[in-house]
Amino acid sequence: MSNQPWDLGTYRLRRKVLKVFGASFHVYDGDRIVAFCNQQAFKLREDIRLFADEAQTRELLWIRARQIVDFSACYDVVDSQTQQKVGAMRRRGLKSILRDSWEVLDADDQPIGKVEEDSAAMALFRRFLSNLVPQKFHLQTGTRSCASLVQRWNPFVYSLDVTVPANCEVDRRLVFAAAVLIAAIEGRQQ
Amino acid sequence: MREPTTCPHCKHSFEASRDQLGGLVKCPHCQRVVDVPGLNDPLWWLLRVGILIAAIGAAVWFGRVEPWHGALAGVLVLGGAWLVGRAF
Repeated sequence: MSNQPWDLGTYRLRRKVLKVFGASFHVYDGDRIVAFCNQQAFKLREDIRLFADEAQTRELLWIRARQIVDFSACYDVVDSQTQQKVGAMRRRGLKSILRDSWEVLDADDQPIGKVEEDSAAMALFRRFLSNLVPQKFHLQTGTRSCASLVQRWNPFVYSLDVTVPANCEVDRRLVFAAAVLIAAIEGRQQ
Repeated sequence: MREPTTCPHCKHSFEASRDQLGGLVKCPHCQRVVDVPGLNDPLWWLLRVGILIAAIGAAVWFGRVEPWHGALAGVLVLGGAWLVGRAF
């Protein structure tokens, strides 16, 4: 197994607090920072880069939106080291009004899974009653859950715990990209 | 008619689908990433029409006082939208 951050079984994304323009996330394995995500500012189309370090010397993943408006946008995921397309994530805009929902696509834009909020009831509760209830997402292929993404309760700093079992059928780089997009796009609404 | 996309790595030409416009796709020949030019974002076009209507509305509203107020308001709205568009 290589030493890439997406190969970990569990990791946490935490938004950097003092960032005026754009957004940045640290990726933690316990207390150790293993990667750094930077969401570029002043870009009409979302452009997110994952680096092996905060100095941004080695780019690992590139996530870029096809559309300007995030409502039902599709985000392509590219492995920066091999320059190969890993897959894509497509946000289901209308469905996400009530319950956040994303489609996971392979390198040929064929759907292979989905990421959804834990339950419609909790999603509605968060939207209409209290935004303080942390979100939970499951990445599923068919009826099987491949990974879980759970927001930590913290009213000041957005933090997302990701758990990926060893037998996950989806490319782990795609799971990582899903976590970054949920933190960047859905987390922005908090 | 859409122009074919040429892979910068192997020079293979292919036609990207409408959904792939503005995206990063796999070249069917060399499998490497190709940046497809263009944009398929109906909501963005709608937003631009909205900005134009806002500019006209601002020009008419502020133009009630002085015509040059209206012209300035319209120019400011369009100028602001242009600045944002420069980022793209």
